[in-house]
Amino acid sequence: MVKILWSKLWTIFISKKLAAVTIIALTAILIIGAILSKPGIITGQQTGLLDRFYLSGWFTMLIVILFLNTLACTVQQVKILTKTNSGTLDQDTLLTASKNSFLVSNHHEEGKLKRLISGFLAGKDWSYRYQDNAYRIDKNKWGKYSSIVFHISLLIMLVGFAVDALVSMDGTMVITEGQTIMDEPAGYIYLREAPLYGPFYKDAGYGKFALTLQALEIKYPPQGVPDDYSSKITLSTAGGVTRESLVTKSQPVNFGGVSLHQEFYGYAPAVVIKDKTGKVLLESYVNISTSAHPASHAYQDSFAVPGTDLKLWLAFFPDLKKKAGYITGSYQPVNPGLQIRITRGKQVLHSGYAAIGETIEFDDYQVSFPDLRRWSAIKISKDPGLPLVYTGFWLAVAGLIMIYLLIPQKIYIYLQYERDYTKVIIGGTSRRYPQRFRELIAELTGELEVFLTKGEF
Amino acid sequence: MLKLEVILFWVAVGLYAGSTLLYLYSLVYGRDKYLRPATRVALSGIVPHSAALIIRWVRAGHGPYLTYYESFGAFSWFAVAFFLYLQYRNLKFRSLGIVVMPLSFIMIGLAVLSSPDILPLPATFATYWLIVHVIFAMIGYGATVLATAFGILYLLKQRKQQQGQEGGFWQRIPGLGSLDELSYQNLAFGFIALTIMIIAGAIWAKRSWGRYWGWDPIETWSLISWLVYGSYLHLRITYRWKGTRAAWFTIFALVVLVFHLFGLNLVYQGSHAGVWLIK
Repeated sequence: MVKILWSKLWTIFISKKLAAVTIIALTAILIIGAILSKPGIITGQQTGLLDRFYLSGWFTMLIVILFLNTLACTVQQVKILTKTNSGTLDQDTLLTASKNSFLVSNHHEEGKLKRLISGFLAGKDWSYRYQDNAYRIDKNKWGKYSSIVFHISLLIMLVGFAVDALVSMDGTMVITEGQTIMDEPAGYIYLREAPLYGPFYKDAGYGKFALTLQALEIKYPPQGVPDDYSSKITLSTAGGVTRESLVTKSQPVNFGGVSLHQEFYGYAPAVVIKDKTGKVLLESYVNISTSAHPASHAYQDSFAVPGTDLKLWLAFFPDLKKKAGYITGSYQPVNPGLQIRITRGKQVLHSGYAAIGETIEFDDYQVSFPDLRRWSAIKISKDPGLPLVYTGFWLAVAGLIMIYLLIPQKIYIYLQYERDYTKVIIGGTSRRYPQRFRELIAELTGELEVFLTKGEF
Repeated sequence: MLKLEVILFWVAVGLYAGSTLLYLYSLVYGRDKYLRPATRVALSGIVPHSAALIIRWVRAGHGPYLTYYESFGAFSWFAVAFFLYLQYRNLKFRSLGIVVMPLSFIMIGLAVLSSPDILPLPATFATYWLIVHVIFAMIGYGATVLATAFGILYLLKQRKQQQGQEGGFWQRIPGLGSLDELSYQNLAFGFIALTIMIIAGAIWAKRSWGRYWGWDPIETWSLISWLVYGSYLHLRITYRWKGTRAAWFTIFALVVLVFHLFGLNLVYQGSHAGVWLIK
């Protein structure tokens, strides 16, 4: 029963028609999806449906069918080629393949004809095998595997993507200069785990490192918001290894299956709040989102002061300048300033500006701005499928080279001995480009005929 | 240097225009004696074209792939260089000029009509994966354009044969069977190059943004183009789509590809601010 079922499934999945139909269906679905995703085509609730379009079960199923189909066809192809490889070209095939022939007289001994043909083939740098009165040339024999290599590369890449989809994780750590954060769920402000991430890693996949941000380095263009920035980090692994690295936007840091990518960055002014007894209520660097905004704006944040009924509202100006109101002159921290507003309920207790190092006092409280640092958001991903994707990529390159340079051709030169003459039959088979192969055989026949009949023959 | 670069580009435009006219004259009037001078003019055009691209590369500090000006210039160069290389290997390919040279002329024309301003390379572009991505894109697009060129020649030659007017120019080009196979060969090669381009792009995206694929319009349409070419190969192998049907399919596939490359930014504004989509 199982055998019958397996046989039926196998027949379905080795079908090249299934491949053609699946690819065409996938193309049509993607075109519909791409058209629908154009802004303005669909609105409202339907947009939600479209967002889930490429992640839907049926779409995934289509990809899975294509994968199984490619896998089955590749296995089948390997079987066929291995079988073909083990056999030899039989006489019938030789004589029915595309062929050309000419006659040479027999007034010279047989050995001389063979020597001349060998010399002709050596001149072309073709290796051959002589058997049953026939020279057999197997040109670019590895080329027959080019399509298989390419399909295997696709399969490996798809497996790599699937592994990542099932057992990867990615998260974002927001870290201030000088701070150290442990690799544990609480250390991430955003965390996404693939469905099998936990079961895959026995140690739950965390505790691999501690991350310290030494400095955020920014290259300032003459105008506008910096595009190039990088984080100088120190990684301390569980094994006690410490390494310093630079995470840039184009160069992630990779170690032990973990990749660190540079995401956003911003300013982190230090804020200290004390009460009248000198007790510190808050002493912290406040990570203000600054990278996404144009330089002419202040960057804002607000939060409740712990242990009080006060609310603190901050606006940070990297280069504080007074015009009609306060603005920032540039993105660079030339004259950092903090606008501070403190409220209790709807009542504003204080509103004013503090330069770096200044302290403002109101009621029974002191608020100071002693220091300025930067923060960096680093995306961390653990992708066990990445090596497979790289492997698939290089195999695809190999497939490309093979498909271009190694066009497999089997050529034979068959000597049919008669009483007064020898008939030289030239033919062969080629899986690819038969028309041009026929032209090649015709050219070869002419060349060999001239070669053999000039001089002694 | 900018002045010299622009002058060299314009010289190349002029020579490609001359070559195009000679090829078209050969085609329309069936005078194959103009094919050789047409090739020589194309060959003399690629010299200033190469020099202009080298100057651009030195001035910009990165390869010619960031702006329309750079990308169209590079596309055109690849097309002419590949065409001349094919001719060097086999003179039968000379007739391809009637498709390749007008296309190259249009592309280099679009380049010189775009802004020649140099844009700084964004930080996420400073990776060798981008170079791999761009090189295979050029190879893949070049090969698929050639596949279409062979397809068009197939259809034209077939028509001439049916009309019984297969003299002069049409006698010099390969037979229908060979044209069909050449189209198939270039398309298969281009298809794998496009595969590598897409994968290199996905790896680049993974390294830069931590994800392989985002289903943005450029990514989706590149996959659609790839699947269209994949469909061709599978229809050919499974359903024996050869000859006329295959030739028409290469034209259809090129229309999809052209939309993906040039039309998409008009429909989906501001998407995938990548490579040469920066105007």
